Amino acid sequence: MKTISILLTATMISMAGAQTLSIKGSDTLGAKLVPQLAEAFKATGNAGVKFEIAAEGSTTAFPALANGTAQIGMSSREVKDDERTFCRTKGVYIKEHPICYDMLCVIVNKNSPLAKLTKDQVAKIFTGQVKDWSEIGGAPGKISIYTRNTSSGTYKDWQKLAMGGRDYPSSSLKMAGNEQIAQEVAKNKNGIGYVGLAYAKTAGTKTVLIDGVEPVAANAKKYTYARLCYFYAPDKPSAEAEAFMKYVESDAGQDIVRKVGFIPAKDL
Amino acid sequence: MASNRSIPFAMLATSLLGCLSIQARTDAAASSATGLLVGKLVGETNFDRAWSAFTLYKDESNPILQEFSLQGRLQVHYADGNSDNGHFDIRDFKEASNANDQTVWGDNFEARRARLGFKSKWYQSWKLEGQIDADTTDGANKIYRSIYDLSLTYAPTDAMNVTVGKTKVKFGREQEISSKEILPFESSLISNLLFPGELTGVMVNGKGIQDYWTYELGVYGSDRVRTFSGYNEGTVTLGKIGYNYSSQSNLDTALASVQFMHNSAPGFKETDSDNFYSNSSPAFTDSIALTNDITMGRFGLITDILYGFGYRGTADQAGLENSLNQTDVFGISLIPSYFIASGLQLVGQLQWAISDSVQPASGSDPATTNLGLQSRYEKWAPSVIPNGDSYTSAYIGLNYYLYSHKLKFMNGIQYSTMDGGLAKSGQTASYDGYTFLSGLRFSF
Repeated sequence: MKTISILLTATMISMAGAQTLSIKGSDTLGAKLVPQLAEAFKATGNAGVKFEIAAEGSTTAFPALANGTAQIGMSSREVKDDERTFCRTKGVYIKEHPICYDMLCVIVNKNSPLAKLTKDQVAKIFTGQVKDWSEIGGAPGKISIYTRNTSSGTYKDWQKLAMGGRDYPSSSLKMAGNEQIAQEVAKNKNGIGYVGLAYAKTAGTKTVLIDGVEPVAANAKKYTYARLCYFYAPDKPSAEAEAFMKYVESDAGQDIVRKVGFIPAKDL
Repeated sequence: MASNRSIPFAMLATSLLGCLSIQARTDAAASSATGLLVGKLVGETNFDRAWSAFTLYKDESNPILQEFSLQGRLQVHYADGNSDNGHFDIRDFKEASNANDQTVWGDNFEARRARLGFKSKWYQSWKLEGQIDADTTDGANKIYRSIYDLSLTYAPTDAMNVTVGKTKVKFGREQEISSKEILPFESSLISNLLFPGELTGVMVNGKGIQDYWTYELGVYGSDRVRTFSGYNEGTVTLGKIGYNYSSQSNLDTALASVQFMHNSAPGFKETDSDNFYSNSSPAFTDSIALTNDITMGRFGLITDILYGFGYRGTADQAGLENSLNQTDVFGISLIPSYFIASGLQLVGQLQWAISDSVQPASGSDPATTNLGLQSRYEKWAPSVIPNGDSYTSAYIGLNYYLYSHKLKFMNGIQYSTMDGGLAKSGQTASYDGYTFLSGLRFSF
């Protein structure tokens, strides 16, 4: 029934001619997940919908919604009160649509004897306060920290989630993406890094438990480095926006969410 | 006085220091930096870009200084009222005291708030910000009137922020909402009566505790002064616990809280040679607030239920030992709102407050003080007793948002009655009147 509804909406959009759907906000969602969802949506009879996706950070989602330059806002955090107020005073009454959980996993080399860390230990490692594995019960060896580069939203998110807002040490090594971090940790027995769930099983690495919680999808609600990500749209969205959000919430859309490495909100 | 004068200069020096740090960083050509000093204004609209000029520098990837911005507000309005006792307007307010005179433009407009300052973010988790109250009247020989606030906050997570310095002590929901964003012109009578002012102290607050809970605990010096209050004249302690129930209620936002405040020096009033601070610390030992704030689409409703335990005893007031006999007070304030069109909001404010009856002086006991009419502007109606034991008020207004709360027009009319005042010869024991207000509010 849900599929029929989506197809009907899609048919109506197609009949109306080419439409542009502008989606702005989080780079966590906009870098990979939303483009793939957009392609899949177009393939289900919505070829006439042209997507404009700007992934420049969650903060950009709400001014864009308020100004009417985006029909959907992507955010890796809840909207702030002042952002919602800004939208309201411009006649845009936004609604929240939880999409998925993004989980950041701490990985070490597969030969490391380390199996678990506390949140406090993670903070000390990534801020450079702890420099050698022996300081936290591991085999002696200077810790090599692998992080995302400074332009990545995840670089800052990790600072806030895991490091109490403090800075990375100058010795930390900045990588272009999850894959690079995982590859470097696999090659370095003293390496440690953080990656999205989809990269947690990279050969040569292993994940560690944080405060006793294993970083698996089922634990997304209680795992300390997991966060719920959202779409925000006006209470009366455009037909294209409504059809796309319905598609994302459909089984087909949620399969894509899973494949890209996120955890569908509906799974929990 | 010398130390008083040095503080605004210290704030200016802090601003310049911030700018120097910015310059040092911009030399390193950080490409992600925005702001006036790096010549990169951001935003989608002309309004966005214009307001982004108040951000002098912003770069989240700078490890030392992430943001340095100017902040301020100017709120100017016209008011005119009529009551059973006759006409009153801003001229009456102006002539009532030297402090009032410092905020009135000509005879008909009051610069209700004029503030200028800065805010900055350092080392990811530290925030330093401050504002001065400014004198914007024609004859002003200096802009500085007082330090409104100046504080340093350590904010490593949403769950824990620690603030040290002078800040507004926000008791009740109405006071928690910045005057930049308050929907009617004024907070309710009961809220203002219990409001302890901008005080110096230490405060810890946080949100998202087990997802839904918020908290705040602060201890402040109770004296309201031009610069920084000390702890030698008593303390105000404020504690709050809140619960965010938006996800359980399907409302867009929903926050309820219980708040408790204790004042160890009720009624204390600092001596102020410039007559700027006419306010004493509220004459209540303890105060309790139950608050609720919800929004759903176009609709919003702010509710405050407040109770104050009156103080009976002596208090140091501007160097004199005065006897106070303040009764308990109780009040409810409701502020419903509804957007009737894009950027056009209908706002209401309903107030009801009661206290014990007024008692005349008897022997060594002074007359009781209970509810007082609002200084803007009902209190200045001719030949009216400014106190009573029962106050009701209804306000209806229209707010038009040109650029959200940063630039808006407000218009409204308030009808109020106060009964139970202690009559003297030639004065009535009640108030029954209305006030029309029209204003412009600008902030950044």
